Amino acid sequence: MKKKFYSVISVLLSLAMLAVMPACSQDQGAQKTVLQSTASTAASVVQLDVFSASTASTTAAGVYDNTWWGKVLKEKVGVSLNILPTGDQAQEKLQALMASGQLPDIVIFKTNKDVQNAIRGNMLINLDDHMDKLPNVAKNAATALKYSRDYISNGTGKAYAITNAVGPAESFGSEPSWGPYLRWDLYKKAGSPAINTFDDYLSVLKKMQDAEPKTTDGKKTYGISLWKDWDNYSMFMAQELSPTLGVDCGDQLAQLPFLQVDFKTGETKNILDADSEYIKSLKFYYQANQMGLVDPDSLTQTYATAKSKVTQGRVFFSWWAWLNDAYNTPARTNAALPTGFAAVLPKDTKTLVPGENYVGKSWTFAISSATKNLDACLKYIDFMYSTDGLQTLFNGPEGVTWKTDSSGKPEMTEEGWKYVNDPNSELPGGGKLADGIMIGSYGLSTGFINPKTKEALSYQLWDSTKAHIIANQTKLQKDWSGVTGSKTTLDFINANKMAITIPLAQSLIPSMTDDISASASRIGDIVKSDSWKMVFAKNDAEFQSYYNDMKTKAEGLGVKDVYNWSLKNWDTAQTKAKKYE
Amino acid sequence: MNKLKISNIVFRIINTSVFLIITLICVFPFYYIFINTISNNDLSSAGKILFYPIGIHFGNYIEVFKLKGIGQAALVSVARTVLGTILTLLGSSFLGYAFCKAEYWKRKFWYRFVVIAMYFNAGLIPWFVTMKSIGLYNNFLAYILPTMVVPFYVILFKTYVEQIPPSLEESVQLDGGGYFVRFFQIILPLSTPILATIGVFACAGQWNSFMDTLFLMKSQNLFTLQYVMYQYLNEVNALANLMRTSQATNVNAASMNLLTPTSVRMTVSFVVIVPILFVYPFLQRYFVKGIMIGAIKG
Repeated sequence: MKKKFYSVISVLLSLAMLAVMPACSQDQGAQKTVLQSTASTAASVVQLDVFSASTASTTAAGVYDNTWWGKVLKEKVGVSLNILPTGDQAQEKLQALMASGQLPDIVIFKTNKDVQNAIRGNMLINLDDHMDKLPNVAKNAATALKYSRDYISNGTGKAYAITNAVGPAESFGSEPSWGPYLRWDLYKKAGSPAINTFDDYLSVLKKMQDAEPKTTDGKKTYGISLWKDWDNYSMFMAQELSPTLGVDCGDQLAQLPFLQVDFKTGETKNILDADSEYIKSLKFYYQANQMGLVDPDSLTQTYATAKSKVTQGRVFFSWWAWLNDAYNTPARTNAALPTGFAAVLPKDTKTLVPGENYVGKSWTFAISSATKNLDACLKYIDFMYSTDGLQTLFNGPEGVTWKTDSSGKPEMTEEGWKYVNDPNSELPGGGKLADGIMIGSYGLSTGFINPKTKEALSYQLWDSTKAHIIANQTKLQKDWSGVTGSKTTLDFINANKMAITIPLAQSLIPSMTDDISASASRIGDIVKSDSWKMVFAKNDAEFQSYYNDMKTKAEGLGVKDVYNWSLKNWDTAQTKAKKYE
Repeated sequence: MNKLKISNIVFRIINTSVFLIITLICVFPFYYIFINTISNNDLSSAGKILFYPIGIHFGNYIEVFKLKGIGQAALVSVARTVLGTILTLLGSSFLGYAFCKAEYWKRKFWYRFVVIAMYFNAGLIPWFVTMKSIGLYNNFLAYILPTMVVPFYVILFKTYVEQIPPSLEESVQLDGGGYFVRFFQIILPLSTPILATIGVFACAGQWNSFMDTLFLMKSQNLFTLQYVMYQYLNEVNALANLMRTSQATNVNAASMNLLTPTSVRMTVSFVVIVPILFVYPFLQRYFVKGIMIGAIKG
């Protein structure tokens, strides 16, 4: 009888062995590092628990002492961060932590509502009492502090939380957020016809498709390939036209469901109105489909599938520069006859570019009133608002990835470019280059001007970087420059005055209430399914009937209320913005 | 005679083929996941890999085993699975046994008190606050103590024990055996089938759990394998999400090219399924019902 009991245990233990064995070699290293880190922590470094509500970033929980940026924090600030697990449940975890009455040392909030709740529960430190220890915050984020006292202090008028990414426009490098881009080689083959308005793409794409109906390995090509899995409150792919015309249609920049705002004129519109940019782009795709330009898999495929088609050269149209990278490999763009995507913009392009934002984004840094290491917390926050601190976190350690030349201007080193071009490679000390801002939040924007160098904080905006990009143009880019007369797409946009700055109000929109967001997603389901049906409608009559169906059903579900709510919030945001511009 | 033979053969053919099909249906999902993990990632995310792998590579597995702290996490997972299962077996079975005893003070009330927890759940926040206030926040015990008494297992065990003839116990009682002697020497050995059942449930439950890590742990030495995998999957999804929200100017597309959410999901599934798959065959022999025929005379 006992034998049986033991044999069960022995089975379980052998199972345990089985699972541990493959991990052994890895494990020794891991344990050693844990020991090391605790040993050095004991000396003078303080470990801070960090909760970050950011789910949009690639935050992974744990201690990062063995990364280049972990070492920077240790040396310069004397802290080591222990990032708490959040996964995709950050909001739930925050609620649980708040209910328990104690927050971890540093909290990065996503919404202002949460901050106010935490203030009500006495869970945050009043930063105004400690301003002497936050000199960089006071110097670099004064407007953000004022905003915090005015709007996220729960009526106390004190600063409890400081907003993120304060400062001039976020970085761009050389490409705008929206193109569009065409396969440059085929566009030239089609005779480079002028694109005056958006509809001109259709005939161009048709010619391009005729020029190359199949790829070299015999696969059918398409002008446009769409995907469904990124849809939010409306069809994602149909929201991408408006930002190239200076219009936000509510879903991709901020959370204003079903409201379209024209940043050129300030005009607002319901996206379901027949003359909205959203319906216009549905019409564009519909016409493209009538001409046989749209990939028939569009209805069912995911982003990953569509991307692999771009990689294979089966798609000729792309909205974004980052999608081009899937096709534009050096082997292709530097070939004897270079092929690849390049910007081909309509004459009436008004592409949205980010503007100055001294109020900061809605994410905020705050310190828990339960912390036992207040000084270390203050020091860390101040570091996250210091130009020197962020210049290191954005670009890597000085002297390794970047240096300043004799005139004090910063530039990336050869080694630095290596890490930029191969983003998965590890810096000396461990960790990738982009990991420096791993927690997804930073005090000053990448475009903030460092008074020491008189240049932006991030290498992406340095003059030397631009020179480097121009010096290293691929054959394809050289060809493009020869035709357009501009060195980069952004230069082209600026030279032709094709940019519209996103107004400050856009980042001051209050977050959705639960009611509104529930109702918006109910309506969104109708809008999404009818939008796709419209794109793949057989004829104009069918297109119209799906449109009518969408409009009637959406109105039945109360799209008017959601729209009015969006409109009200947009007005609020504009009023707020006036105060800080 | 001849007829019988033919029908016999027909039966065998049909029988074998039916079971072959059933086996295939059971095995195919695992096979499908496996071939997708070793195939070209672009093809697998396009759903092109159906019956055999194309473009075989092991990059997905190499990436998984390079994950930070995966060794420690595997240890924690194994420890919680082994210890947690043993404790669940002991706790739930002894309570189930105790509930069979008529002399248990207010037995009905306590039994219902335990069972009610199976139907009603206070929700996340009360659970979190309770765990924190009893000191199970950031504590390994949080993995194994709360699952010691699981109402469902208690019911299973109680029902099982009730059909063991009471005379078996009485014989030991006459010899002066107390509750513990009777439980460990008579009841437990006779309950191996139900213990094995509960064991498999508990084992899988422990192995698969990651929500407790997500909410209760803050030290990375206590992260479980499931949590590390979940986090890895999240990272890849977050990268894809960054693209979606048009904040991609800082993200180089090259970092996306190696891994796709599909390949990662498949690999993670396979890595965590395989160890637990081994548990069932080992426990299978205990599913044979304990032999009690002839145990009592007269």
